[in-house]
Amino acid sequence: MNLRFLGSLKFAVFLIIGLALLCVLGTFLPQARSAESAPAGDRPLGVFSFLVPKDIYHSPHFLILLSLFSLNIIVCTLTRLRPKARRALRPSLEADAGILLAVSASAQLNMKLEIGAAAEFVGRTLRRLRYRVRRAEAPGRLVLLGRKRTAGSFGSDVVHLGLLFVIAGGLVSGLAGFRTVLALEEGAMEAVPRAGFSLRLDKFDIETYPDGSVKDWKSRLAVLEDGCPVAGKTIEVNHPLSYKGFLFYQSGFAQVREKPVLGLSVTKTTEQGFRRVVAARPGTPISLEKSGLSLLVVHFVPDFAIDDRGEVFSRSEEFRNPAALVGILENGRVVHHGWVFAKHPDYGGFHGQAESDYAVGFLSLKYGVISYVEAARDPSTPLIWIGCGLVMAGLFLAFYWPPRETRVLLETHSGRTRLTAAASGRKNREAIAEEFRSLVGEWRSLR
Amino acid sequence: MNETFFFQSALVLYALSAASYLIFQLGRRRFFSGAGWTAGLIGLALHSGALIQRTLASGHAPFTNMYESLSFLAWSCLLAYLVMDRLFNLPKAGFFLLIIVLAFMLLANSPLMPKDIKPLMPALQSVWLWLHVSITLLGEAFFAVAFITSILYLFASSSRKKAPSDKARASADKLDRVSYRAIAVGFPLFTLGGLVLGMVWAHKAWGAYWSWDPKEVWSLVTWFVYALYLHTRLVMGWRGRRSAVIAVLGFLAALFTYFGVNYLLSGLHSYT
Repeated sequence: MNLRFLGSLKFAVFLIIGLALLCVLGTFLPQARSAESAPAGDRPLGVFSFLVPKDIYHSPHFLILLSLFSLNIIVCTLTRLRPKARRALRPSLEADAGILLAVSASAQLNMKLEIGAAAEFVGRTLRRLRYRVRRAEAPGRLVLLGRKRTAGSFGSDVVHLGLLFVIAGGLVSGLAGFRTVLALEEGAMEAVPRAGFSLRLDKFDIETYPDGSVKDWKSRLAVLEDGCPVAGKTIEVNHPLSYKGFLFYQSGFAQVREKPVLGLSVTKTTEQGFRRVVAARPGTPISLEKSGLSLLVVHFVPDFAIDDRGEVFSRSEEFRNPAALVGILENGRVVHHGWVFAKHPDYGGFHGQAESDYAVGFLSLKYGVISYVEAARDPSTPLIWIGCGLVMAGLFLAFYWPPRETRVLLETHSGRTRLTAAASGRKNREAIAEEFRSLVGEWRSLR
Repeated sequence: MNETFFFQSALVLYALSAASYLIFQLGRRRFFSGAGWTAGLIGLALHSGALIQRTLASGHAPFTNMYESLSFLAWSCLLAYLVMDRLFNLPKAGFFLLIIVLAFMLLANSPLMPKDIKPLMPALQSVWLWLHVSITLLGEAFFAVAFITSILYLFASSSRKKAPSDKARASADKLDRVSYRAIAVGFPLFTLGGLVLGMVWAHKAWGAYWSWDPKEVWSLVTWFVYALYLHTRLVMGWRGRRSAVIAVLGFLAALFTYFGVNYLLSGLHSYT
């Protein structure tokens, strides 16, 4: 394989068809969603699994084609770029009347002006049409080269550069990208893997439409470093939280019976007006906003019952007779403990219940919610956006910024100045011809 | 006057337009192509009314289910055709393009497509819905124009195997050129809407700009096909039949991206 083949369009066509076919194949065969989730052990062996790997888009086949594709783009761009850049930066300023007149938009006319003045005038008319004009002089002979939108000839190179950025981004993403899903309970804190901080879900909300379908769900997140909150945001679908290279996306939620949330009220018989309402989870102490006072749901049973030995057990997993053993602590000392019942709020006389100043009410019971937050660190994203920007800019240049060139040769010819000119460009012949006609008209008017 | 009224009147006008273009096709009387164009334009205005009504009634962009997006695609195809016709004078493509438009409209109108307004799922509640879908479908509309002109080119070039007259050759060359011009508009639009803005939105909504979801993959395949068209044409100098075949394949890939992926493959883009 020599260099010329590597950069050839034939090779590019072959690679594009190959990549397209692999892509198509991948959509019709069951795919592992990502490289990480592809089970390594249970891969069938044999020719088929070699030809059609389980995870096509991360398979060696695909990656080899993609690398060859990149190589093809690089070689092609480099070999074409140098002559192109030379033409753009140092264009030839030669002109031959015969060759100019062979161009379809061309003209020849005589001017009464002396050659220098004619060049001045022609240069002005070209500049007014936004041409950049270069000039080369020889005795009795003068060439003006007007060019505009020269950048347009680099459109395809800009697109190709953009594609290289995108492919490089994909590579970086595959090598250095990291993503995981955190399951957060309200109030719970979770360390973010491979990051020096934790995430706490402060509040979870579900909004519904009048017909009951889910409109939106939101998680109020706090970022904690060494236990101190340093940042926070309410995230929802389409609105992630960004912190130290990580992005946190709201992906979904689940309601779980095993992690109920109890709405409890605490009142104090010896203090009028003392009433606190809390949302408590079994096992997690909650401060009662009064110094040293906290509440703990020690035990929760969904379907309360007592066996012959007097021990509490749950008849089922259903919320048939939910009950909770609640303790209230003041400076670490238990000042109250007792069972409360969701369905029997007034019942407080269960045996073993000590008299205390506090009374607890069981107001409500909900399933606990787990908010699934996707954490992603992908250092490739800037490369991707730069690549996308370049591709779009390049497409614009290639399709809608066509370079145009008008070459004018002025010669002293039997005492007069003879002008020979031609206009050329890659696209839109009619517009080029029309602009050239108007230029020639102007030049003629000075004859 | 509600959405249904606007939609049905647009449908009637499109049918009238198609009929006019058919008469033009048979007799080549300029009057009928003009009438077809005008009927198409009035239909497009009424159809715009339907889309606006839908947007006002639902409060979101009018392309969140198959009915809405088919209707918008039909609208885009006609718009693309009317624009290309003004620029390049293509009355002969009118009838065939209107057949495509009518097919999309009738499919949208069929009982297969639920038309009731449903609340929007959270992932779709985004300004990117407007940008991503509308620009992609507009790009595909220009691909549809290129598809029709390419098919016409293929028919024109196969029906006269003997020495063609200069006029016939010039008209075929024009079809070939117009296919290219339509793709030159469609390709940047499709790249921007389908791929770039799709990636930006995916990054915002799913946390990954690219997930190898079937819709994404098929958009990429469509993009590859048109990239092939442009490279073989601009660098290798392919013209005529071979270019036309690629343009036809490209549109079929675009159609599969649009329909096939939703009904035959499952993935993240399952919004039917």
